[in-house]
Amino acid sequence: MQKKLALLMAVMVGLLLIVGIYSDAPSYGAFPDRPLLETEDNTLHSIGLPILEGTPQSPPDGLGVPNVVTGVLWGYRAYDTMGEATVLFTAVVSVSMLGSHAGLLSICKIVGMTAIVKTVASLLTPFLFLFGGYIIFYGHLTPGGGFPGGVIIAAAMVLLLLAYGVRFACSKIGFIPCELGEEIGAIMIVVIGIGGFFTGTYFLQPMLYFGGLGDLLSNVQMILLNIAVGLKVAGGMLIIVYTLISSFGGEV
Amino acid sequence: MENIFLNILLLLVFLFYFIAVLVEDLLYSIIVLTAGSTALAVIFYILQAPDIALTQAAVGTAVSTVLLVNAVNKTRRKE
Repeated sequence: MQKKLALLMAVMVGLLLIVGIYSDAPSYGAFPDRPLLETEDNTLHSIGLPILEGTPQSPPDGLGVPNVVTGVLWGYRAYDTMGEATVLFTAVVSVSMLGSHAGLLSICKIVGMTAIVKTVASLLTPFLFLFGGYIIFYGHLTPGGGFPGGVIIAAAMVLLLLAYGVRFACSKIGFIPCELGEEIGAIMIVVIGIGGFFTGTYFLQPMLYFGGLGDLLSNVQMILLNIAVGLKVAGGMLIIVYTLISSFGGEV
Repeated sequence: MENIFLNILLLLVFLFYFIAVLVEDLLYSIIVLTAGSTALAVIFYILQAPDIALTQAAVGTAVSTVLLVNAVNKTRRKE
């Protein structure tokens, strides 16, 4: 009965979404008609126009990054990113409060998988780490950034954990480095934000430019923010996985 | 052409999540959820949001699967 009710609700929400897509939303690929704002000198301009035009320009005028979404996420609205990091921090804190991990790890049996899985995991893990690092360090130039890169690094560790068992994974990257990464990332975000005060901008606004559009060091503040968020996400995800697996008993 | 592909993918997402609700065995349900989130990642990529696609692929296929399988491992497998 409950299941049928849930199914009915899912179908109804899906139908609502489909109706919404085909009645109101702009068709695929069409630039939406944005409402126009009237400025002081009586000229009309679109709401997002300064951001759309300003981001892909060389540093003194714009942010020096080619992607507008990146510019919004890590530059104009970096507060948003800080809020997301806070959400993750809250999740990690609540999971750590639910399951204490101190002594329970020694109870877990060492249950690895077969030799095939172990070989594939040991071959694949370094490249996954490299890919995650690439996504973090080039987050301001290519799609991606701190969050996907951190999750990929955490996923690489999860692959090791599944193949070799949780105690092996903890002997490579244990609880303490994860917690250090999480906290250093959180502190780095705030320190970078406060750094904006000393360079004459606002909290978490872009600063520190070396080079033109598309250069690796075109926007150093975004690189530092990406590294901070990457550390934080990788550490936080790993803490959640380790804690949930090693506490509450069971064998992994 | 892209529109047809997009609609097929949307239907696939709907189908996968529908099956995930219907299946009795929770482990199968989790695997079907993973397939659905992969299709969702492709949709995000077609809609020109590659960063969201990356996040969806990494979180939906790797991390959430491990957490859910762990939860099933600690409770019951059958619904």
